[in-house]
Amino acid sequence: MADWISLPVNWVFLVLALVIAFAGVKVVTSRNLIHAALSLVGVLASTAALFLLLSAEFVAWVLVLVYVGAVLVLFLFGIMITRAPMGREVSLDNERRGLAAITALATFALLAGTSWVAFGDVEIEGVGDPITTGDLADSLLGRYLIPFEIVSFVLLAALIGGIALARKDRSPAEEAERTDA
Amino acid sequence: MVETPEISLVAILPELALTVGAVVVLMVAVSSRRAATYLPWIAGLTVAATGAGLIAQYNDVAANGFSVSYAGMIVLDNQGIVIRTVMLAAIAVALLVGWRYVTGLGTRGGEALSLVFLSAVGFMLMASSIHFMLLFLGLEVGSISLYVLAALGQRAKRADEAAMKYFLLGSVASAIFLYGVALLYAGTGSLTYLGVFEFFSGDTLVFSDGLLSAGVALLFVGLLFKIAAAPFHSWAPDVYQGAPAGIVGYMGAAAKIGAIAALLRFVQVPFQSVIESIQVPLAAVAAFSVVLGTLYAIVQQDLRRVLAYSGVSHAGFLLMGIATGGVAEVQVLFYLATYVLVLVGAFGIVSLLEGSGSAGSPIENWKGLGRRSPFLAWSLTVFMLGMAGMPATAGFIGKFGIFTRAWSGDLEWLVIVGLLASVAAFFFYLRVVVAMFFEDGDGKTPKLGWPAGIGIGLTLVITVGLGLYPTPLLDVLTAALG
Amino acid sequence: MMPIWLALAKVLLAFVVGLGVVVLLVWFERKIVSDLQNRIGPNRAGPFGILQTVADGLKLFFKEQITPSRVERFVFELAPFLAVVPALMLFLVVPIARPIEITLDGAPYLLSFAALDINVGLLFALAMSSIAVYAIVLAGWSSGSKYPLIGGVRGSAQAISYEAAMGLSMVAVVMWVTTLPGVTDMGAMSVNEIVLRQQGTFFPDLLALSWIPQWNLIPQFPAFVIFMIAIFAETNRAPFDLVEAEQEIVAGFNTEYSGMRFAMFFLAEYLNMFTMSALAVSLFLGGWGGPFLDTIDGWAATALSFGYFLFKTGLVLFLFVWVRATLPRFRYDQLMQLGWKRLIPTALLWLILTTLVVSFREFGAPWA
Repeated sequence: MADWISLPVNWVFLVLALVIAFAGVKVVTSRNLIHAALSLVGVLASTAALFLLLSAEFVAWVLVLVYVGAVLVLFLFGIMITRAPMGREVSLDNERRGLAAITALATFALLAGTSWVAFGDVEIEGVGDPITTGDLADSLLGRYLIPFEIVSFVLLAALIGGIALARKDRSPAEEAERTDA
Repeated sequence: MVETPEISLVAILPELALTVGAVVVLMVAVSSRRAATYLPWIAGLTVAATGAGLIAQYNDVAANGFSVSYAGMIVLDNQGIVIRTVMLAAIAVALLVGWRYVTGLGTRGGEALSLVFLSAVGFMLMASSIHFMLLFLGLEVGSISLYVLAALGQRAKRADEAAMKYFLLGSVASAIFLYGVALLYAGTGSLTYLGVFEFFSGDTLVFSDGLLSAGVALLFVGLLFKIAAAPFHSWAPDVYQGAPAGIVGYMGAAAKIGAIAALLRFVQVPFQSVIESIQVPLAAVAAFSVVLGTLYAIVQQDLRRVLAYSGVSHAGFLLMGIATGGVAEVQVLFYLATYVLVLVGAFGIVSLLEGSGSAGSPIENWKGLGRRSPFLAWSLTVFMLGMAGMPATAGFIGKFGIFTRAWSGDLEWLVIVGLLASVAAFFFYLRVVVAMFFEDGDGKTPKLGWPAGIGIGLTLVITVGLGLYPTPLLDVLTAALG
Repeated sequence: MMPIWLALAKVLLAFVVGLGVVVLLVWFERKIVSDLQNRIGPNRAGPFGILQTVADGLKLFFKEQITPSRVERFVFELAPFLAVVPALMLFLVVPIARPIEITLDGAPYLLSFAALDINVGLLFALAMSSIAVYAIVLAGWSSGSKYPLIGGVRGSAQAISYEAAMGLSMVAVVMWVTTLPGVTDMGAMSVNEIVLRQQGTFFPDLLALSWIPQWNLIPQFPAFVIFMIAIFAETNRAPFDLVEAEQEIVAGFNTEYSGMRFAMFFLAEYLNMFTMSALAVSLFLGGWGGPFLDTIDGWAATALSFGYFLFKTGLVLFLFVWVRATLPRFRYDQLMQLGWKRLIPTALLWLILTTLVVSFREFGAPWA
């Protein structure tokens, strides 16, 4: 235990973990959609910081770039272009709070249990060694070539679906007009 | 220098052909105003190219034996080839019988076609994957494409409900599956089938470990959901009823092919040495599916729901073969092939009668079809008998094979359950036949185009042909899978 | 391992340079725009009006900060800080002068003038530029008023649209410098490394052409054009300044801001302009490189390279101002069309082309 306290890294971890836990709770309990989204930013940014602690710079900054910089901005865009709520909203809450809390705690217990069973308090070698972008690229385009490509299929299918479902069909008259033009 | 894994193009040839087809369809559909005239050609070429890829694969395996490529991700063996061939046949028949639906979608037809190909890529990869990560990705590509296909038809309340239900429940199932993979990885430290196999057959056998068991269970539950085995079937009736008829047959068939392919590999490699522990729950699910599917099918008033519940019981029969371990693959594959073709063919007839915009196909509508359209009525009769397992149809040979395997695999009680259910099943399969030929009604008279005619005819020939003379195919399968 | 005081000193230096340049930049822009429009411009505070920004800053500092009653107070006060922080952070990865060999604790030490010399520097820059939009979105929303909200929504859509093109053009540059002939180690996502690999000339053996510097600008010209357009949009500068289009939405996202909070948005805009220009210089114009650097050594060379860096950045900044004074603002649909239907496809095509050339250079011809 004394070892644990003497390492500054552990303190940083503790702070980040507390921020993540607190912000995570805020995401689901906040009565304002924008505040919830901002709390999610906090969660993701702190997670990126955790990756930095593990010397996984690439993953950390990709997390910031993709999730904080793009996905959540899109969230905000979506919220603002539709309702842009200010103040509290009652409709964000429902009666199944208790059940949801139990599910969340059970999931946490399961994950924590798994981690404990799998690793115990064994110190794992090699974690925290810096991984260069080149190493990542090698394994993505080498060992994981096929999954890497297939992930793009998942996105393609979702993309086609999103566009095909959201697009308004042209009426026959419009279609004819378009063909004439 | 970059370390490249062994890249074997031949191992992914059919998937490549389908991918190219999907992308070309998409590009043509958005860029050409006369896309509708090109689509049949592109679809035909894609199917032909995929078939050629399969032949190349078969020759490769015949010459070099099975091979593993892409750093232990993909295996090229005869079992995978057979499953992919079944998949291809399902696509071909589904496109033929559902072509009117595709063209009826107008500007969305290209997207639908492209999604059919993409979903096939996903499910085909499930058949050749020997890595849990790739398996999951294949499942997702396939499932997401199917969710969209379910939602593509005309906007009706019931269709939207079906699509939404399929999407939400399917996503939960995928999440469950992924959770299972995560727990399995935590427990065994490996994501490859071989690594898991070595873990289980090694000295470090800790299968009593609760978390690992939970992981394996979740893994199976995710896949059982996809094949609509009871008690994970609740989505199937609504989806079969609400989704566009032109595509619903393919949806059911494709998901079953992919998941059964994965389950087969599961009992062959990763969980082979712990098959004893898995067999009982699997057999229980099989029995439950067979009984529940049959009982519920009897009380349905809508042909689509009948087919959905019969799908549940067929999932049970397939599981029966899988529960015996890896030895019954010939029987399971034969059963799978004949079932999915008949399913696609039957739904083809449903879509011809109801039109793709409808949601539901009450038995009422089928009354008197025998007089209005004898060809379709007789075809549907054959398909129904095939599903029921009437002798002289392929369904009988399939069921017979599964039963013999299960019997010799010490699952006698399961066989008895299956036999009883099969007899009871005749009741609901024949009800629509009775309605078509012996009851009067003045429903619609379907118009049969030549693509649908060819598709149904083909299925008819296969069903009856394999029922009367299955030996050549069984010999080929036995020789190939040995 | 770099001692902490040195790291702090570098960060401090970067901030001082950044803020100092911004003060000059505001004056610079006003002077240039006034010249282009045939006016005199600021000319009272200090020689040529050079102290005008300082005077304005002091004025804003002492003004009342009005907080309208319908704002979301916490977010409203947070937004100006969110505007400044990413802009300052982004500048940390840009090397502002040539590295110099010094003695540190008795051992030789190569002192680089990028405060944050990390091997994923470009990714860091992209990440910072992508989170800069939060300030605009949140300022617009928290003001509780419709014009700022429209500005905020526009800002988020615009940032996402142009970030992709910007990232793609950067990828082309990274691939190009990673596989330069004679380079053996992989990986050049560090801005410092990219600048280093642009030193030297293309044709050292041809006397007549030996002056052409080995800048990415020449082989990667399309990427440069895409990058420049994208950074105009990312910094919300004319002709992409729809977030504060005064004819349509008053002052856009910062309508409700006043006093020091407004000054911080103002500062952030110019800081962003400067850091993006500095990044453009580092990626395409050889960074601090220039003639005669090899003939002198020690701190003099460092100072000279810093001068080159400032000069090149000044040129890019002049381009910013010039465009602002010349081009009218895009309509919103034009902005989206340009981003999604022109810029991103072009960037993708250029990326594919670069990939082909690079793999040709790396692995030889496929038919050989």
